[in-house]
Amino acid sequence: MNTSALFPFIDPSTDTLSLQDTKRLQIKLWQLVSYQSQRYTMGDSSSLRIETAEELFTSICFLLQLYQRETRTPWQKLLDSDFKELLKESHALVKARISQAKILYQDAQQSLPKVKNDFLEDTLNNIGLFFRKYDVQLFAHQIPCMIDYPLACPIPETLYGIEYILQYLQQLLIENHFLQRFSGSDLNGLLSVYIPDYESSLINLYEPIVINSLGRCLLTQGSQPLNISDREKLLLQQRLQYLSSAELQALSVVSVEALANTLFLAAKPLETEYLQHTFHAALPRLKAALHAQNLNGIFMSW
Amino acid sequence: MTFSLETIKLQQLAAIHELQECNQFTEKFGLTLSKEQIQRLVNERFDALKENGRIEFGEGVLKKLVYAFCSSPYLYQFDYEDTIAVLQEIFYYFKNESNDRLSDDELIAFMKETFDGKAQGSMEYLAETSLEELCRNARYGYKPDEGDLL
Repeated sequence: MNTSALFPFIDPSTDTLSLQDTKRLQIKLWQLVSYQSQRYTMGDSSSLRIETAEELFTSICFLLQLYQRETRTPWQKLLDSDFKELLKESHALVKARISQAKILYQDAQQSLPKVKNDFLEDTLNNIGLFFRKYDVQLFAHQIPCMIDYPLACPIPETLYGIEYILQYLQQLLIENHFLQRFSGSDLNGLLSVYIPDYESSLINLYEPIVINSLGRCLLTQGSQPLNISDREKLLLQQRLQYLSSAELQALSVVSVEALANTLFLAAKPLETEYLQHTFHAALPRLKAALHAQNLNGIFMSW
Repeated sequence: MTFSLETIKLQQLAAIHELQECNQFTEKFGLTLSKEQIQRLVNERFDALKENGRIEFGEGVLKKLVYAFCSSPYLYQFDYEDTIAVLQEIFYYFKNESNDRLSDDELIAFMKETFDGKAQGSMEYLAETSLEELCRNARYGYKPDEGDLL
């Protein structure tokens, strides 16, 4: 029996269960799925579609895993607990996260960048629906809304339900706070060159702004205005073209720190780390562009 | 979702026990199931569930079917096991067809009334006309034709 297949959220490297424990876990889980199915059908039906039962099961796994992670209790010890009680305590943990997410959601709505993007607006509206549709009791792992707007750093697919939304909002806020440091005309100027109909395009607004502002930092000219002229691109080409990947990487770290200082983000390690991560992801493209001696697709001019 | 044989065995044992208890009640209608028949019905329950992509927890529906149909004038000892087996299969099929909008009790009550009424014991009529219509109505939210229950 493959424990990870049965209970996908258990990390087999840290918590291997014996065969006997696995059987006990199976019986306890079966009883819990049975209990949840009764709640789902409100006692009207003794059977369920397999897909529905699987969703109930995944929700249970999500909740128990959340509890286990939060309390750092080994699974062997949890096996002696009343699983229905564990489920209730997990619900309380989820509810605390929902409250946290609602605060972040309000912040995200109030900190929108000074440019418009339909997908960002739609996604925020949909997250509002999430709070109304989210079923903590039976389907806590689901995300009952459409999240279209792409973030510069994708959310790991291992996150489910409220955990996903929480992470998404945290990252969105980091992006919003960064974008708020720039004027609407600067953002509009850069994004119009990046994609002419950026308002209705499924693009991330943060990444191109980060790259241009880091470009300006590399030119040691502060982060604003965002525009990088053709002459400046030539300077960047000359400065960067002979650097190895490791040197480019080291320079990017220094530049991100300089940018964070310029934008008063240095005291916010998460935001600085996010910047670093975003720029790091763009380095292969920069390297290729330097090789092709054409930085037009990397740094925007208008 | 994968569970070991233990849980399935436990369910089978519970189902066998439930049907054995039913015999005490159905005896007065001249209907009983032998141990072999009970075992076959329980096996068929799992087959029917699997075929219809369903999973059952706790008390199965077999006991409810037996209790509901044992008073039917169209049920005889010689085809008791076969009839219950087909009813069980039909039941799970139409649970799906109704998008689970009918409760177990509602579906069984309708099956029983139609079986004893319009269908006059015909399983084909029950499955291919009345239940099809009932489930279509359940899916689209129409009220069932009251005539069906006569």
